[in-house]
Amino acid sequence: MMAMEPLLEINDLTHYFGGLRAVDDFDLTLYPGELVGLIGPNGAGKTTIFNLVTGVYTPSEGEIIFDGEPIAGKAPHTITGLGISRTFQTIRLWDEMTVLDNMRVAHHGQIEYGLIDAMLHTGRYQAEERRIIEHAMELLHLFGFERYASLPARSLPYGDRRRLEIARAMATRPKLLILDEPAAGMNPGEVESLMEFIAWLREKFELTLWLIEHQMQLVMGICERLTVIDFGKTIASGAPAEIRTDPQVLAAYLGE
Amino acid sequence: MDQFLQQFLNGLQLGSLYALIALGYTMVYGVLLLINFAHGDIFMMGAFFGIFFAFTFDLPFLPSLLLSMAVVGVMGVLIERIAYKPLRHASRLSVVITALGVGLFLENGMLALTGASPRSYPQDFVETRVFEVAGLSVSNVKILIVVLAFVLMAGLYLLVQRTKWGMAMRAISYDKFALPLMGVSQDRVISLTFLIGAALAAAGGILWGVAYPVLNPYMGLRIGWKAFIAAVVGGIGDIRGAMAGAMILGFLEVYVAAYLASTYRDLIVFVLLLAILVVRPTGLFGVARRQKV
Amino acid sequence: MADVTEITQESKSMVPARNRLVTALNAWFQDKILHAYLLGIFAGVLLERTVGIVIARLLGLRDLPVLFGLLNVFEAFGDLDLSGILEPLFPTTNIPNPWQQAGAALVDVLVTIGSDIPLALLTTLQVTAYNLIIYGVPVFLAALVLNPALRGVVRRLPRAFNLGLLVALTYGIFWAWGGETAYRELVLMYLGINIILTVSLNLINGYMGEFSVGHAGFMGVGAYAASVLTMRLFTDSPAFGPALLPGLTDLPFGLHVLIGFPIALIAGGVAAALTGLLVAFPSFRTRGDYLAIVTLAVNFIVQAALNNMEIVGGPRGLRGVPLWSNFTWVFVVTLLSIFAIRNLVNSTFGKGIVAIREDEIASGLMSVNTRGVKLVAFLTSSFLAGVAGGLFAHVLAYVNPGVFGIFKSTEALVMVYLGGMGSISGSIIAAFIFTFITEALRPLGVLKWVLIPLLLILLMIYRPQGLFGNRELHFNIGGREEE
Repeated sequence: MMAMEPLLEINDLTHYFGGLRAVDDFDLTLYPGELVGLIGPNGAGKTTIFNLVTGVYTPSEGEIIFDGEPIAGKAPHTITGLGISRTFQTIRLWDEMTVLDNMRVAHHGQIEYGLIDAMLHTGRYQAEERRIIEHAMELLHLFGFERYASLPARSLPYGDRRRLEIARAMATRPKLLILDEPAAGMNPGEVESLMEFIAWLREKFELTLWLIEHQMQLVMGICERLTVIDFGKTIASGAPAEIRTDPQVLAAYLGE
Repeated sequence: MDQFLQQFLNGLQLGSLYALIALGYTMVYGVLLLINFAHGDIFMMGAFFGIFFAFTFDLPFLPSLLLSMAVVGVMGVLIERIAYKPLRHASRLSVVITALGVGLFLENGMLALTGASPRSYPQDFVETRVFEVAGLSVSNVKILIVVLAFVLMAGLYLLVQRTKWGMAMRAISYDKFALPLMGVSQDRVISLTFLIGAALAAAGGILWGVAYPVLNPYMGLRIGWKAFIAAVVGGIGDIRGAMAGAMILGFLEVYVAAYLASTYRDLIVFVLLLAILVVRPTGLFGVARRQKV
Repeated sequence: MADVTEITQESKSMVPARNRLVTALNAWFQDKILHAYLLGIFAGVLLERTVGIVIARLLGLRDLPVLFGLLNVFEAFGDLDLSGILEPLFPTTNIPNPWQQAGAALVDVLVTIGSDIPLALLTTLQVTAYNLIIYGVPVFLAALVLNPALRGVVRRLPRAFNLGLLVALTYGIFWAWGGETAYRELVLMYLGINIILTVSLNLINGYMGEFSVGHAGFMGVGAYAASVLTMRLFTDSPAFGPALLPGLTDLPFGLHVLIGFPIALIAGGVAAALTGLLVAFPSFRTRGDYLAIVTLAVNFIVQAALNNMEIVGGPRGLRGVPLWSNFTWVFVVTLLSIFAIRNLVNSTFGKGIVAIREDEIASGLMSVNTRGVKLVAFLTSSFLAGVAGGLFAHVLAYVNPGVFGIFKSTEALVMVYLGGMGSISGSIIAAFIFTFITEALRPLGVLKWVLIPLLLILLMIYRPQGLFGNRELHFNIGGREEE
């Protein structure tokens, strides 16, 4: 495709739950700056793939290479530290914490002070905290949440919570952002603005994006490439236009 | 070898007693996901009501046992209604703390109202007879305890596996909204669980008093905690697990005391239990509930 | 889809966001500077130290009220003994007419209570009047007069200076109050120890949302480790032989205490923290009820181990610990503990602890090293419990394994939940209330331990979030923020 180094390379990724082969020989290569979709019927194993890449589960087999480094089986916070961040199918904000604190905690991997610094409020602690809070507020400002900084996260309306989750993911300074059904529960109008938002996000932060989505309006509208899986297996991949007419994909979706 | 077998019988007896208490913990946990820290003191109440019926009404063993089980069973239901039910929608921790409070209230209340002198059952309550079988001395008390414990446990197992109420008990911790669809009221299932759990603990209390005749209001504290740990080692919420955990605990205690030193009993037993929990964090029969991501 | 998500989100938030008590208190404290209140209290204490006894006598009291009169009120019921009521029905041997005996005992008890009540009421009136005169009036006047007078000055002083001023004032109040009797000083030392225990347990049970039920175990390890160190180094004891550093005890100004005690406390804390590893490592793999059992087992193990160590006296306990604690030591250590925990939970690092409580998986994925954070939380918490144990041992000069059991752990739990999870000011206030109530109920003997759990149950039913669940008090301490 390009002479560029791939950002993420997944080879022969396989995962079992008990005897069930939930992910079966999955391959994917993502290049910097791409926007790629992962689709498939419910229970096809899409979220499992995200969980394997982000370290929630350790893959049974296969390798995952991010930015030249093998990451399969590493702890989630290590993988996030390397530059992969994500959102969740059902929103997983820290509900009782304030919007600002949600943002601050996502800087955890960047903290350089120690426990004693924190307890004694040393100069190093204060400089570091100031930097974290500035970055958090800058992101909140960009995403339009500045006014809500001191409210508990649970008090925001649904759509805002979705966007706050993305803002929080950005606080970890990712190179690759993984979105798990960002348009879940949205009406067509909202999906429209979400698409603009994703495009803006990509532009602004020079991100590589990989997303799972059921809303075809969004998938077909913004993804440059798609992978379709069913029962853990890749059944098709290519440009949205090709996928739309692929007989196997149609069969999987229509349940033939 | 003889000593080994002799101790085996002792372990069986102790394990059966722990099992009768552990079952109550595990049943309540299975239904409400609540660690009923008052359960050890319910066990104590059982032993004390045995005293009440045996002395004040001059009743023999079996009626005393049954009446005590009935009274303490009702007491278990009342405790749930008064102290736990108002908290059914509060955080789980507040109920646990309440249970801790109920336990302290019961044991100290009993101490305040009855005084501190240790008690035991009347001489003729269960007359001890010892038989010699194949070089082992077996007392009728041991046989009584083990047989009664197993009869009660078998009864419980049948109830849980074969009846509508038992099914409801098993179903409730997974989906309490499905219960009305089964034509069963949630409150009744919970009450039934407390009734049975408390009655079993009461039986355990009286049998314990027959085997180890020093009863005092704090007896439920240590024994109760141990039975609880046994339930957890077995995998709390699982009836077979409670029995298995209790037996392991009983045998461990008896053999450590016999072959090592009785002062090391608690230390070694708790270290081993801790080790089991570290290796299998959800207990022997417990299944981890996987969190969806 | 949206509906389902919203419903589950809603049922998840169990902690009420609003807390009218905290809001009201904060409004009240924001209104006037804290200096005014504290000076008022200080004036009250000085008033008591000078003319307190005169006023007490005028009000018909024989002596200064003990613990603001709480103890005097309950002393009226000191002759109460309920043990006859059920003893005949749960007898140790066959007795005639058990029901009659029980009935007679019940009547006796009711008569005793009836005759105690007038005295209790009178005492209540007397001590209320005393408290109003000695403390109520000065605090009211100070708040009224000093607030406008000092406000302007205080506002211009740097914040750190104000903070130091308030700490000094607080110390002065306690010092003057506790100086009246040895008993008062003892209660204040218990108070400090209880505050450390509560705040450190709150880090685990409140902020991290785990359920540790064995905090006293860590306290016990700390108490023994610190005691063994000070006894071995500085005292001749039958247990450990002659002091290893006898020369140091000749130093002027008790310099050996100044050097030795902090080292002993830290050693106690480190020993307790190492024991804390027994809980921290299992916490990587399990949480909730199963982890609660691990903490319980660790508490039992500590007790059983101490019981089996002949070198430290086994079940008889360890005698001859030097009496090094005094109010000042306890005050300083308590203050440091509060500040350390407060700063920790307000830091980005510490907020990771709360994030783990709210959603552990999301925390890991948002770059929180969950194992590292748990390790830090458990180590910090058990370290401080160990330090509290070290202080405790050097207050009583005697420790035995029985002290550090489930009862002590339960006391710590009661204080945490009384104050409210995730609230440091709540923990401090709860430690105040609990320490004073347990002391005041002492005349009731075992009934004390009937009333305390009863209060706990009522608290859980009517205010399950505790006094200040997840909220903090904010005082008006004046001053400008320094850069």
